[in-house]
Amino acid sequence: MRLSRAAFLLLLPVLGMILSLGTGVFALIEQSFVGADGLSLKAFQAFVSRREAMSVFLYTHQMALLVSAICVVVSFPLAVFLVRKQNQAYVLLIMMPLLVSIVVRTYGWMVILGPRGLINAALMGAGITTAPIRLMFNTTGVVIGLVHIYIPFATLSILTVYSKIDRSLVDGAAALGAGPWRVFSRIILPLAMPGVIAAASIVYLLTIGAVVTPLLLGSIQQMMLGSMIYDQMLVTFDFPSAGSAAIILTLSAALAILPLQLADRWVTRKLPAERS
Amino acid sequence: MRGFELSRRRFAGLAATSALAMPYVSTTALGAASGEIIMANFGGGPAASFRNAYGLPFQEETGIKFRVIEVPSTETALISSASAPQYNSSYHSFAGAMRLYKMGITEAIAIDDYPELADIPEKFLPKIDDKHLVGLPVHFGFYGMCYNRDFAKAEELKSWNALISPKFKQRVSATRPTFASLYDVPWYSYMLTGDQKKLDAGIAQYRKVIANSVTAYTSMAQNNQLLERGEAVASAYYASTVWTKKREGINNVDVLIPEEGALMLPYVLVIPKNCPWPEAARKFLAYASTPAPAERALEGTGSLPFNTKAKVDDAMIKARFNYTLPDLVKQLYSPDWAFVEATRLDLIKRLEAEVLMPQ
Repeated sequence: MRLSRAAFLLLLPVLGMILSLGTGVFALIEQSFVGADGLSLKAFQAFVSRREAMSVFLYTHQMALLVSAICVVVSFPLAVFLVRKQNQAYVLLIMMPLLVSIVVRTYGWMVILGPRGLINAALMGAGITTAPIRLMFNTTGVVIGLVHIYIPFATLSILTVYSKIDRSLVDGAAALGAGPWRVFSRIILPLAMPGVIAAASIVYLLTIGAVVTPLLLGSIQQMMLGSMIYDQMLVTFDFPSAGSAAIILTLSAALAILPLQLADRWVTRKLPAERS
Repeated sequence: MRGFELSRRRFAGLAATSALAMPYVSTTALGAASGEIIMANFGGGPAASFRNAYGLPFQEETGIKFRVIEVPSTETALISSASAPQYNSSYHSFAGAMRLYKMGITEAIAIDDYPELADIPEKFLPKIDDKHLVGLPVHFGFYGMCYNRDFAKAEELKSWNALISPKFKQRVSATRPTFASLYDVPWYSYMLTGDQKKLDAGIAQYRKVIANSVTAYTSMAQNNQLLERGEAVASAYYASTVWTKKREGINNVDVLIPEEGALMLPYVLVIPKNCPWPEAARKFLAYASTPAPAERALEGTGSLPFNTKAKVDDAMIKARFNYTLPDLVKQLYSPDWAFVEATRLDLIKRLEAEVLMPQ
């Protein structure tokens, strides 16, 4: 295929962007593999041998799993509601938080969940508790913050697929005597599964790289790998450690969502021809 | 093709545009001739303070244009631009400046080039050798016991051990290992053993403070909020934030120096190697070493001058910090920052191993 001069010129910005991004990533990979004596895996060995680094790594994946599961469970009924209502205003309402920076939204949660925040003030004011309940600076706070941030992504993914489900299939099943649960489990859920899988994959990957929310709503034991990489890059300038941690995180995230991708292919193959 | 016609209307337009552009053209030409100061500094208070107390008066006096670029970390700014320096002046902690010099990013400051350094006590000069410094010391702050007056009394915080007291369980805040390695641990080590190099004692104390903390704060904005709202009632923290808050009329956060003393936080200006207009940068540092800018900076952020000839308003210092300058200096400990810098990376890893694991 030959490119015309105009097409080539139009491609230039894209190539420039790929090149500038690629150079940074390549430099980071190079730094993590090159030691004082040439090629070396020392940075990777050091990461794996540090108990606290492995603990942070495992915690990051546990959080990604938990946040993805909660987001899917919350987003599914939300997507169903949005499709049934057929009102763009509701969709806008779900999308609106995306217009506000993550830092601002997280600070908002700090005001609500803090020891002297709105919830604790209400609980203590009503005499339900005598001391503040710990709603943040722990895993609960981080999960609440991350779920709130990622729900729009999950909802959109499910909504896109759910809105294309042929209503006649649902009506037909109901007419043939299937109860609501049977309709949901045998018709709606399988047909919406590609959206569910996409939502889970997106939220998993976003959570893996979360930095701000775990920093502000968690405490030191809730450190996630993204925050650790941030410190290594920008505070201690330990580029080999940051590079090796980033590579391990990327590869492990790819491995973690692989089953989801395989499930997606399997589900797509099983779906009626017009959907696959 | 029509030729260019200079109508009366067009001429008036051009003249007006030229007149409007004159100030810009003249300052740009001035900058090109005598250079420019492009300073990297932390956003918010420090940047504004430097602009008003140092930069603009310097620009007025010398005609050399002054610009301050606000960055989240001045060290990162210099390291990331090391191959093509963009700044010719930058503001750092002593340990940070030592690190940059060791990395070959900044130039040595020749003591003989700055006669005003004779007015700074020698123990506060961050020396490379007898004739050179890693940076030019400008002023200092301190790491005191900051607390919320609505939820804790000064008498309850007489000792740093209050931060590990069960009375304040989950009611204090602490910094993270990256900054504890610079401040908390060297201070606790010295406080408990009389020797900053006995780090085990400092690490153990820091671990206890973390265990007693509601959270380990990640930014000054976060800890300011925690202290102001009383979610953390006390914290080992930068006294300058109390100064700034009181200046803004917020009086529920205060600072005290416990009976064991507190840590001095000295700051320097550095010149990056191969920077643009190095001569202008040296002129700026010479100006910064004089008493006048440090006197002005005190009012803005509570930065205490190193220059002993600087005239300070002791009543104002007492009102904002609760101590006079001589009282403060007497109670502050200035560690061997070269040792702090040399051991920092290993110390961060040790601290992370101690506190990152779930309890």
